[in-house]
Amino acid sequence: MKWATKKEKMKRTYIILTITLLSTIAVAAQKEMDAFKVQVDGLGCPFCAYGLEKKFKEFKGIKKVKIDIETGDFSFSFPAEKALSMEAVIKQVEKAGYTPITAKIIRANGTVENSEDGKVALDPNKLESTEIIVAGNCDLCKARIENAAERLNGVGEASWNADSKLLSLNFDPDKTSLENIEKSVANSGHDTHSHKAKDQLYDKLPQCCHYERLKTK
Amino acid sequence: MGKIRIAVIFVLFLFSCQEKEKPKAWTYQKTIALDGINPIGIALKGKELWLSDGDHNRLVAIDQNGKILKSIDSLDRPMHIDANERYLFLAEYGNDRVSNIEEDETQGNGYKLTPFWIGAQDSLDAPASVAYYDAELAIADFYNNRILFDNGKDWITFGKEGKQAGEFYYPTDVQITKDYIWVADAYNNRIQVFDKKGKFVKMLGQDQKMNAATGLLVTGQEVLITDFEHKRVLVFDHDGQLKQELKKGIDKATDLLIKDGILHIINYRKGELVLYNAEEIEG
Repeated sequence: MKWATKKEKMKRTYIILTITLLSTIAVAAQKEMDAFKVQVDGLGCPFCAYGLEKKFKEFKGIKKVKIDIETGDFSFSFPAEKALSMEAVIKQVEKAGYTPITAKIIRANGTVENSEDGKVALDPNKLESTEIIVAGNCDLCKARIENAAERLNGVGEASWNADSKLLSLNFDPDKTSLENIEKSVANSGHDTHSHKAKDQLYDKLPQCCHYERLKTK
Repeated sequence: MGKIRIAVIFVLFLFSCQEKEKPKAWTYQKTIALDGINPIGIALKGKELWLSDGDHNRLVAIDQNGKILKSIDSLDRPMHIDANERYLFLAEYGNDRVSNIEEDETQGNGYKLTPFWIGAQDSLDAPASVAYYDAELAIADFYNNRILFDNGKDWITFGKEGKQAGEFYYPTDVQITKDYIWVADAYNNRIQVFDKKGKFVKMLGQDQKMNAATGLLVTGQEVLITDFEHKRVLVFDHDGQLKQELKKGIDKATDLLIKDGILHIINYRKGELVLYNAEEIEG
């Protein structure tokens, strides 16, 4: 009887150890996922959202896919061991028929990669603040306009207001110019008073972004 | 002679009694909340109203209050659906599968799903809609920008990506009528009509500045289309003349049908069923 109890105890201990080990492995495996956050331009309806999801299913092992069609926010996780690159993510969004605005990867080891990496750090004392009129309509326009300005080296923060159509920004005039910023914004499909976006760029914008064209100077 | 006179008077009397049929317009009736359903497609199977719930990967049959009566689960992004008395016809966007579904008590969930064989060379890429008409079948193949049509004997395909007549920019819905195949050409913001050999016939709604023409309904007299982003339904005659614009209660609608003379419109995002009556109008 005493021997049987010992055996049972051993068995119980073995089970507990096994469960603990499996849990540890599972938790470790869960931790070994990279997190991806992409802001996508042009998502409008469930057909678009499911389309994006479908194209990313080609990445075997993808988990926690989440898409908000109102904001264009798209996030998912992917096994860290596969080291999915920023380039591959951007290419896949484009393959699905959409335009990535920004992308961020939080690797399982804690490092963070941004699609906008490579920008030079700015000296706050050298920054000049200004405002320019930029044509646009909606939140998708806002993300596109701000990104077009902020991705330039020398630009600090940019914020566009859909009601006033004003893009408020600061920039270092030694590193870039207002001319460059307006050109970049126009190249994203949005008119400014000095630079009109090319018709083919305007035409490619989602319908909800088809603003009333500005008269250029 | 007297009898003839009486007959003539009787006929004239009958004609005088007949009122000229007044024109009708769709009038908002009510909105029904669909708890926990984000509907994309709607179909009538006999008397049952079925919805595809893309977000929740299922088909559901609902009653007149929007309550779920039946459910077919574990699907992969079901989109626009169709039905006849016996079958539901299903397009699954996520796994490129088009199937029919019939009730079968021998199956675990009570339904038997049979995928259509479309041909190995014709792999679909995100089928957005399937339509059935008298042994004919049509599929809107979203990413391939084409329509597949089975005339009962052979499959034909037509369309490619583009903005010209006969080309598509993401077709999302299709319907077959006696003589034509009607396509919701979603991001070209128009409806296109083809004959059953795939030849372009005409387009409708291209001048209405729609933003994502997602769901289509063709009746004997009218062509109705959901304008997803502009939160409205446009009603055309078969020649493309705009008859009416419906806005009340409509918010990001994806599909519509008529049941018992009542227009049923589904709001995807809000999870709602919006009903409109056909009411006589003056003039």
